[in-house]
Amino acid sequence: MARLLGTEISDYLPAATAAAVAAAYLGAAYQYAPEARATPLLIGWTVVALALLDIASRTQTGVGRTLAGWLNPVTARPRHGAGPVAYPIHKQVMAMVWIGGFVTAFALIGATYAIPIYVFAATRWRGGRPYLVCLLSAAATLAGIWLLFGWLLHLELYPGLLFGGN
Amino acid sequence: MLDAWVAGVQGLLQVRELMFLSLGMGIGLVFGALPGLGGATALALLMPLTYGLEPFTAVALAGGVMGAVPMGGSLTAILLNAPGSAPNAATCLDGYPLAQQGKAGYAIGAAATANSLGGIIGTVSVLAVLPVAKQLVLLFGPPEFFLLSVLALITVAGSLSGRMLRGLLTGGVGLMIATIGYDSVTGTTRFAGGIEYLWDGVHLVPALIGLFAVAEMINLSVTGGTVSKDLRAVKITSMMSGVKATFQHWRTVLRGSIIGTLVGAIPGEGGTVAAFLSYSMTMQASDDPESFGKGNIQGVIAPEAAINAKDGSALIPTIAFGIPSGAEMAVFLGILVLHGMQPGPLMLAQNQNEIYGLVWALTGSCILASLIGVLLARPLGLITLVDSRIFVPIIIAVAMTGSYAVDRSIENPILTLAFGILGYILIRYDYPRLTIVIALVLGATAERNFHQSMMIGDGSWWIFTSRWMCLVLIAAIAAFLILPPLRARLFPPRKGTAPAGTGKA
Repeated sequence: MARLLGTEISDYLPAATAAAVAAAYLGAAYQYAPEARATPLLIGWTVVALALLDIASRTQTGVGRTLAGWLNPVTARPRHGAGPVAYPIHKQVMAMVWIGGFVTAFALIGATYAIPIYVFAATRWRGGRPYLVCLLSAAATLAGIWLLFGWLLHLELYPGLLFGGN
Repeated sequence: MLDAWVAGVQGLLQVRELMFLSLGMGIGLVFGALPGLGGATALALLMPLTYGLEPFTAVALAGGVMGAVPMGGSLTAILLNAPGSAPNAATCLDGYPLAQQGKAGYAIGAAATANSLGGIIGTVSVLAVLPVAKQLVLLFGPPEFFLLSVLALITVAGSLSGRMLRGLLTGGVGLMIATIGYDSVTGTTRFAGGIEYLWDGVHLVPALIGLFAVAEMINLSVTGGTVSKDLRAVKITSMMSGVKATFQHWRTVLRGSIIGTLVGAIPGEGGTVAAFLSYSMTMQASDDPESFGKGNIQGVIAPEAAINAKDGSALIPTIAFGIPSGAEMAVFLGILVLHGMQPGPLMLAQNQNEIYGLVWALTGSCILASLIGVLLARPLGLITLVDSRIFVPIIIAVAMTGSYAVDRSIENPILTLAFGILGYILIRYDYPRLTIVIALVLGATAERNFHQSMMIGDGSWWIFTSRWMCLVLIAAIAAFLILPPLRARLFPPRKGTAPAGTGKA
């Protein structure tokens, strides 16, 4: 992994992203009237300053170590930034993709179809559980959700954009 | 005031309220037992369900959850050395050695009794302080409320020992998100990017479901396996001797409850601080400090009493000032707002029935959960052995359906997913989520109070120093900005120690 000032580049990513988002936020804020932008400017510049301090505190330089010691002592330990175990990136992305897929299905075909399909597919093809366990999990989840939302609270389950939802 | 107490009890004794209190209690026990989930996740998942309920019923449900979570956490801490939530880690120190010595029942009996007694003492403190809080809140105007919001963020960030800068940064990001949408002061729609859904701002409930429930599920599906790896063939007997031991060590219960009550009222200083402080003070006061960590029953009683006493007093800043003391209270604040209750002087005056109903619900749930926890100790421990590959899709389905159900908007699950991913990234990079939640909850109020203050002061910043309460708050802000770094320099965190204050949140 490439390093910059003694620290893995990936460790700078969260603070750098926060700084970039804050810069874009400030750019948008300057388009508003003075009263409407007063608070956003205060917040935006504060975030930029905090993000820069966080980035500086992560470098393995004298300044970085001093800042980390005062403000982020946890990062002063070796291998700061990521969690204690580094999981493969594809595993992390896939965990999000499965949920993203479910949300897409939920929006398109509605809760009644998306829930059992997702629970069955996730337990079977992602989890590798036996067919019967997957079927039972899917059926029990749909039944539980219908009982809770549909029957007890009288809330309509989303029908899906393809079936008349909006 | 007595009328409100009685009305609170009467309201709670209705069949519907009791049913939802019990439901909350059951959910609280289960979520408390599952390490990494806890009360904030349970409340975030339940939040949409409360939408169709009367405010009082919603409060009973939430009280049921909050009262029961600590007991669930104690069981897995004692039986499996896997604390359900961060504060229960202190219970592991002596609870698990006791279980290994075949005295799990003894430890569980003591934990349950200390839980109940701590909860009762916490309740007494709330009942004593709430009438005074009403008078105190009236001293606050827009400048004080603005400074209080700043103080809340800084206190919470400062309490994340070793991660103050990260806490402030995520708090700032939370404030940026909170400014999205219609600005009631100037009538401008800001940062919505032409998306009509965002004109009302970022919807709080879907965001919280994402930050807690979905983020934890993504994390669990990446780490995989079961929540706990091993449930030893422990015998759960001699519970009554544990109950008796708690009464014999009444000083430990009292000390822990007082510590829990005091710490609970400070924003950001969560149950972890209360539990470990109570544990270490009990150890220092003991004639036999060497026996701690090897199965001393006082090492179980002290943190358990503190954790539940803290829950009661944590209601004071939440209800009186709208300043949540931790992640669980932040989500609970979201439930109050969802039901049209605005914490502060108005709520103290207009929603007394709900407030006292909540206090009784919390106490009742805490006592009943201790009883049920004792009876169902073993099956509750087995919950942690459920495979995450089955558990995760089910929780995700419930979370997304709940998110949609809040206001029947299909954009909600998309927002939940976005916040789930954000929450997961924060977990992986060890950035706290609690400050982002507090910023989301307080952001709009803080901005409104800021504008009102500037209007009162004719655009001059001196308005924030014009009254003695403002000066007190500014001094407190300065102190909380300076003290944590000083503490970090003087007492640097040791390798391998968990960040105190709010655990993973």
